[in-house]
Amino acid sequence: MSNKNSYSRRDFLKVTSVVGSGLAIGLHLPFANKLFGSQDNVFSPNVYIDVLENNDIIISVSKSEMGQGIWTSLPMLIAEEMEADWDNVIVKQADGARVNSFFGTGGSSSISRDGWNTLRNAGAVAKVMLVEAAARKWNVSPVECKAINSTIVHERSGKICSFGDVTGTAAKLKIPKEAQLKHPSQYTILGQDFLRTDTGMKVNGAAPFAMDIDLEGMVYAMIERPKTFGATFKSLDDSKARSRPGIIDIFTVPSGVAIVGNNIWSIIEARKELKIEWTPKTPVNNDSDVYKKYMEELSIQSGHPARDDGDTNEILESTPSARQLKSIYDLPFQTHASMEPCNSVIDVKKDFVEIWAPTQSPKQATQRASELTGVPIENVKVNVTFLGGSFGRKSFNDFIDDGIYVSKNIKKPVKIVWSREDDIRHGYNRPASKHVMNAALDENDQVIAWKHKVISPDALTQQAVYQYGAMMPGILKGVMGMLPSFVKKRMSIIGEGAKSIKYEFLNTRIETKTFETDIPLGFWRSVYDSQNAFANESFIDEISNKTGSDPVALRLTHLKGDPRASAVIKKAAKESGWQTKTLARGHYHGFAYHHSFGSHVAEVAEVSVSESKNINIHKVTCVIDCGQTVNPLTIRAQMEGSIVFGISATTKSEVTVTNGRIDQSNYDTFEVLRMDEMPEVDVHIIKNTENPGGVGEPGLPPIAPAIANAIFAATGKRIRKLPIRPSDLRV
Amino acid sequence: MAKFQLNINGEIKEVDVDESMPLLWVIRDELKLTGTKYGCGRGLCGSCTIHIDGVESRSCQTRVDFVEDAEITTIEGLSDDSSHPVQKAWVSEDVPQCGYCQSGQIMTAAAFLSRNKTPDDEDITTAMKMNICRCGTYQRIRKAIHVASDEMKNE
Repeated sequence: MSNKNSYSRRDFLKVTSVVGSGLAIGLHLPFANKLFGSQDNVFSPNVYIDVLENNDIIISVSKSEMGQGIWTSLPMLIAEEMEADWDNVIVKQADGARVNSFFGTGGSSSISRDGWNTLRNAGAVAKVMLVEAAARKWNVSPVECKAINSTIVHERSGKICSFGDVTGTAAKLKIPKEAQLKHPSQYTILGQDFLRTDTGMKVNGAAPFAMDIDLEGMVYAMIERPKTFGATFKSLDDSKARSRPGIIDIFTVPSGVAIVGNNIWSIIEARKELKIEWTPKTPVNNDSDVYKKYMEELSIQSGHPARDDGDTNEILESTPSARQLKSIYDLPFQTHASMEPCNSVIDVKKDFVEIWAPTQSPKQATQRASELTGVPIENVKVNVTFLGGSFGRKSFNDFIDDGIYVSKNIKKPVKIVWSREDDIRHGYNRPASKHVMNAALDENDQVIAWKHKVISPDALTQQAVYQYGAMMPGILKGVMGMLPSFVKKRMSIIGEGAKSIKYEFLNTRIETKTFETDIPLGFWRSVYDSQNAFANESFIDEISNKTGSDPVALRLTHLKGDPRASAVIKKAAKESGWQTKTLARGHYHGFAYHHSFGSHVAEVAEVSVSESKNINIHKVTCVIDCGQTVNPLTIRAQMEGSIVFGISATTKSEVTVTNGRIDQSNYDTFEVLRMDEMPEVDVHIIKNTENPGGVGEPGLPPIAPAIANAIFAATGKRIRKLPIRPSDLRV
Repeated sequence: MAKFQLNINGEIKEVDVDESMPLLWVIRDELKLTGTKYGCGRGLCGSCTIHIDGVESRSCQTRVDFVEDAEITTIEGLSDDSSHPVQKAWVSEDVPQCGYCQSGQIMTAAAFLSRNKTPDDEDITTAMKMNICRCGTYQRIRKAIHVASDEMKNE
């Protein structure tokens, strides 16, 4: 029980039988009704927990499962406090009215901000009530009873009953708001490796993704979007496309031209025959070159002071140039390119709307569907399916809008499918950014002033956030509608990860400079921390090189007030054999550390550069302190995944834009890491009982600078622009 | 449009579709076997991998009129009860994250292991490098293939 990493046949049966795949997304309602039986004997103390007479504990997950493992870790929080036997737990996605009470998933916050207190309390309340119910049944005091493994025991009398035996009584009790939580030393579930609850259906094709939904009378549709950003529809010649077999209708929707058919293939073929004219928009920084040039102009202007501790500018002015360092870093646009392209299944009826979608923002989808159809919000049902990857992309619901318009128009349920090309050309990109760094050193080579100017547009520049929703990173929560502070927030968000740098320098100044662009922008795994950490951690490495100090020692010097950060860095140095291990010939280490989303992560990349300047990443050692761990097996998976995602953005992929159109369109032009370049990833988790931090994103920011710093160690060539191309190393 | 008889997962199924339709869409939209996934439509990512006569194949690049006499296996037909050694290893090694690419990964691994029961790391890389996993589960895929290989060797 305590070690779910050791695999048994019982585990296997459990994981593979949890399917109820229909149940998981709220399909097959007759089955669900039968399952829940007469409501009297189901104990449902809150929206997360239903205990059935047969001792099954149905736990509803209120967050979107996009691979990060919350289908396992959130139920673990409940099961721990509830004293549930994990073998009785059945996990399902919260559906219907329940889903509407949740804002969204994002910002690595499912446990750290939302679940930690709420779900542990939900479990504890359930336990208290079940114990109370058993005590009443036995006519004893509840303090003499205790819950263990889905049973309640009265030791003095030897009485024992299961949770299922007292659901009827428990359901009639008054529900307390709060209950006593366990001390971490009493944990039997949290902090243990638990196999994921969704794996069984992900190895046999049964896992329900939205694209797999099939409804009676359903048709299919794709949307041809404008050729260039912001262009509007002018005219359409669809005569050829309409005459093709399998095509039902073609009409305009706000996002472009919808083509409706009997199957996807017919639509893909007919799309090629559409002749559409678009009226282009007056361009605003809608081309990579124009955009870059504009950033260069902005980089010599002063920015908005997002943080100003001490007298950074004065010190930089008075320090002789020999004791100063200045560097400029450039990062490219990136897109999410999750394996599942955007899609949705939408059924708009006269007085009811039902949506199946891989969305991070179900509440927004509900409100939006009501607005667009006039159907009252309580008659809109959003079924959050599994997300086939998202990384921030599916916090924007534009692909749901498509379906609402099409289904409303043709009065049939519709499955919207985006092609891979649609998905890459019409995503919401991580913005390209520029970072101007200055440092001043005193006579002892200590950093006395640090200045970081971030030049980047922000996702709030555009309407997408408002129109299509999105769970916003921490700082933005509640910003909607607060117009006076809006400009300030825009300035502030692009400084995330720059302002919060953990190193102490006496004088620190962070400036931000944001601007407008037509290029659609969004939130990409770890958001601005991905860019700002690259600048921070590359620049620290440059300083250590200039001063002849060890990169790890230099970091520790400036982290004296932060024992957790220091411990993570020291452990990463130890586990990687930093400066102690003899590496293979031609192999070099690069170090980076960053704190984001409440967690500290240090990574050491072991890299070699071939004669032809090919970059080989052999190993990444990763140490994370995310406070109290929930499921270390998932934490390691998220570190592995963040490192892979980050390597892709460091050495493989970038998005470029020519005259309002993205140049990349599929995995041949937007290349991502494959098995042949996968390094060994060695993850170490520091265990403590601090409040939990996030794990979905904080593993990403350190990897790019760790690689770049290793390349410097290997070649003496400083990397100031991503992605790193072999050609950059040849000059 | 034309009628085709397909031998899929041990059953004969008749479909009436355009002869140029890729098998991917026949399997998904006509036969409603949705475990096979659309990822790129151009044979670049491997999400749509199935077996044709036991060989891993890109269903998005295979026309329906090309496979009438072939034995087709999709993830749904790999085993009745997820008991194929590759599926079991995927569970025990906790491989999938989002899971979207995993049908294709599993089908590729299963076909490859049927030809090479004792692969080394390089063999695995060669076999699997055409399958993309954006969640980054490659390390666990590699480990799971070794675990599956150990089981298959002992069978």
